Formats: sequence, structure tokens, C-alpha cells
Amino acid sequence: MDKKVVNLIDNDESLEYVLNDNEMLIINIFNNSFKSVDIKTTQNNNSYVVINFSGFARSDTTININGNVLGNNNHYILNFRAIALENHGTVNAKVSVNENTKDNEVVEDLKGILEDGTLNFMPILEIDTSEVKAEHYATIGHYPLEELFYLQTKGISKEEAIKILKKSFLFNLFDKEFLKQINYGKEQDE
Amino acid sequence: MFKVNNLTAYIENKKILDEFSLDINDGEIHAIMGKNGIGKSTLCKIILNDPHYEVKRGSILYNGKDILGKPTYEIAKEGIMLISQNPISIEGVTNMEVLRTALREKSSENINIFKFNKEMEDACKKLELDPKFIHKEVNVGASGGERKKVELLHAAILKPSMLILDEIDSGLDVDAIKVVANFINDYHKETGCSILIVTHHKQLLDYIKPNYVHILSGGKIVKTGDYHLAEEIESSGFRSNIIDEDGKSE
Ligand SMILES: Nc1ncnc2c1ncn2[C@@H]1O[C@H](COP(=O)(O)OP(=O)(O)OP(=O)(O)O)[C@@H](O)[C@H]1O
Ligand SMILES: [Mg+2]
Repeated sequence: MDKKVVNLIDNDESLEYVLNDNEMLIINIFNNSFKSVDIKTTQNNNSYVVINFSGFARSDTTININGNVLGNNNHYILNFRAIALENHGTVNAKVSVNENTKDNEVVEDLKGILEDGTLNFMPILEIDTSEVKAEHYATIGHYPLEELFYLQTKGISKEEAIKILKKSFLFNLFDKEFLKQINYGKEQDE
Repeated sequence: MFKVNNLTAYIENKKILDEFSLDINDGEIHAIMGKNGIGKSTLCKIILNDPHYEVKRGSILYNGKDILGKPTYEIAKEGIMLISQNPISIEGVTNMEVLRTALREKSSENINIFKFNKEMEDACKKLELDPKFIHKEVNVGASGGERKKVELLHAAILKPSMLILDEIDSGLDVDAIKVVANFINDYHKETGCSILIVTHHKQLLDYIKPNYVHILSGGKIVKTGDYHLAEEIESSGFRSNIIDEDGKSE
């Protein structure tokens, strides 16, 4: 498989990709402040799309992420993580899988943490075939109390504990190489 | 000196501790035993101010300071460390990161990386824990026994003056119990720390000899004895002549 990796930091442009057969595309995006953008991918046969998108929502934004699966034997995976600091963020995540296709697998996993902002996740699966494996998750909550308590029992202040959890929440999606580029956790581990 | 006075605590309007009192002198080892669901873990977590519980009355003093209701991390900084019955896992956060952050907060001095790494490796060796755990995410994918060892690794680095061990022996195989008990005994000898042990099994107390064994029932300590009290419980249970059904001492 031909593998292409797109690493974007503070992206404010809409993106569109059409994959050839036997292609793999990994899109990593980290935004310190979300912008309203559209991201669209189109897959034919035997291709693989992974979108890892995380960041902070600070202003009113709408992000549309559309995956179109036209042929057979494709994978589409969207991982989205948002921390809502202020205002309102909307994420419309739509995947369409054509009729008469088979052996496709699509997963949408959206997680949000609310600070002083709000979020609305709309994961939509438009699936015209039964020959598909499709899952979607959308959860919005706060920093887990158990984890905050645990870290504090080690003598870590609540503020620092939140920093640690914030970092793991936003960056757990990414590989080392992209993390190096982001530079956010430099003074931390290793 | 660690001193709990007349502590009364609730969870979801259910009274768990009722005028509970306990004194632990520096360097002493106390064990608390009691039936399932009686409130042993509740006590441990309240000491660290777990937000789930509501304390209505009483006080907790450590080295003369009132720690009841203080933020959890301040209680930890006073030197009290809890190893809970079921240590949780945290994805994306490594043991290394937790310990470094904790040490950085504890002292303004720069961490001596060489000394830090050496201490971690020594502790792993003593605990018979793969040193790979140092760089792994906190307890993610770790077995029950491994988690207990990882928590003791944290203790070796953070050096609490009081250890609260909530069923440290649960999930440990026969050999691991010995390893863990040796580790705790050595730590006790080296640091002179105080220890509060919650356990259901006499076996752990064969290895870590407590100064006192207490029975918790009806929200308070109803009987205090020495090591032999644990033997008595092991052979005849809580319902026997030790305490009656209402939790009152005979
Ligand atoms: N988060 C919670 N919500 C509601 N009830 C709780 C909660 N945590 C504990 N309890 C209740 O409080 C009581 C005391 O529980 P605790 O965990 O302290 O018992 P324990 O003595 O440690 O038992 P075990 O020996 O089984 O560990 C139990 O009846 C339990 O069901
Ligand atoms: Mg318990």
C-alpha cells in the first residue's frame, strides 16, 4: 500500500483528498484554536483513511468532516478530540457508504471535554448497504474525577493534574513524529 | 502522629463511619479488618479527601496539622500516600510523567535524573517488576498484581511518611505477596514510616507484623488487639465471639 501522511498544525484551510486504489492516507491535525473548515475524503477500492484531529475550541466554529466510500474493501477511521474552552463548537462528521458495496469498515470516534465552552457532535452514518462494519461513538464530558483524584494522591496539584490529562487527551492519537512537530509536550516525558 | 477523632461520614446519605477514632503513632503499623462493605476503603479515601464522600463531623490530624477537607494533593504533600484497593489506569500518561511532575511539585530543586533513574531501577528490582513499566502508561493493560507493584514503585520515589495500603495483598500470588511484604518491611525500616493496612488475610500480617489489629464494624473500631486477633478472625470469622451482629463488641 502507498502510504501518505499529512501533518497539519493550526490548519485553517479546507482539505479534499481522493484516494487511488491501494492507497493509505493518514491526516493528523492539531489546532490550538479550531477554525471552521471542511475536510472531505473519497475512497474507491482497497484504501485506508485515518483522520486524527484534535485541539481546542475557543470560538464559534463548525467543522464538517465528510468521508465518502464509493467502492469495496475500504477503511475509514475518524478520531476527533476537542476541549471546549469558550463559545460553541459544532462538528458534523458524516460518512457515506455507497449501495452495492462490500467489506468496508468505518469508525467515527468523537470525544469532547467541556471547560467553559460547549460542543455539539453530529456523527452521521449514511449507509446504503448491509455489507459494512460501522461504529460511531460520541461522548462529551469533563475531566474524569477518578483520574484527577488519583493524580492528586501523588501530590500533584489539581491544576497540574488537569494539564497532564489535557495533554494525554489531545495527543494520545498522534505518533512520536507529529508530537515532535507540535512541540507542546517538549518539557515533559523523554 | 496520625489522629482521627470522631469521624462521621456519609456516601449518598448512607452513614458509613460513625464517630470513628484511631491514633497511629509515628512508625507504628496498624491493620484494619472487617466485613465486605463495612467502610474500610471509605476510611482510606476519606483520609485523602475523595470528593465522593461527605464528612459531617470529626477531625483528622497529621503531625499536628488538621488535614480534613484539605485538597487531596496537599494531604499527599504532607506525606500521606494511599495505595487503593483497585488502582485505576490512565491512558496516555506514563508513570515517569506522573512521578516527575509529583517530584517537581514537591521540591523546587531540579530533579537529579541519575539518582531518579537509579532509584526507579532499584525499586523495580526489589519488586520483581519489569523496569519497562517505568515508561508505560499508568496501569494500562497491567494485571491486578502488577498494579500493586507499580503503586509501590511510586511510593519508593515519592517517599511518603505514612502509607495507607488498601488490600495490597489482593490479586497477588503467593510469591508476589512475599516480595511485596519484603519491600514494605524494608521501606518501613529505612524510613520509619507509619503504615495503615487494610486486609482480609492473616497471611499478609504474618509477613508485615502490625503493632495493632482493629476490627471495624458499625462505623467504628469495635475491637483492638495484636496480631492474634487476625488469627482469631481467620479461624472463626467476624460473626463468632468477636463481635455480634450489630457490630458491638462482646
Ligand atoms: N461510590 C459509591 N456510591 C455508593 N455507595 C458506595 C460507594 N462507594 C462505596 N459505597 C458503599 O459504602 C459501603 C462501604 O464501602 P467500602 O468500599 O468502604 O467497603 P469495604 O469495607 O472496603 O469493603 P471490601 O472489603 O469489600 O473492600 C458499601 O456499602 C458500599 O456499597
Ligand atoms: Mg475495600
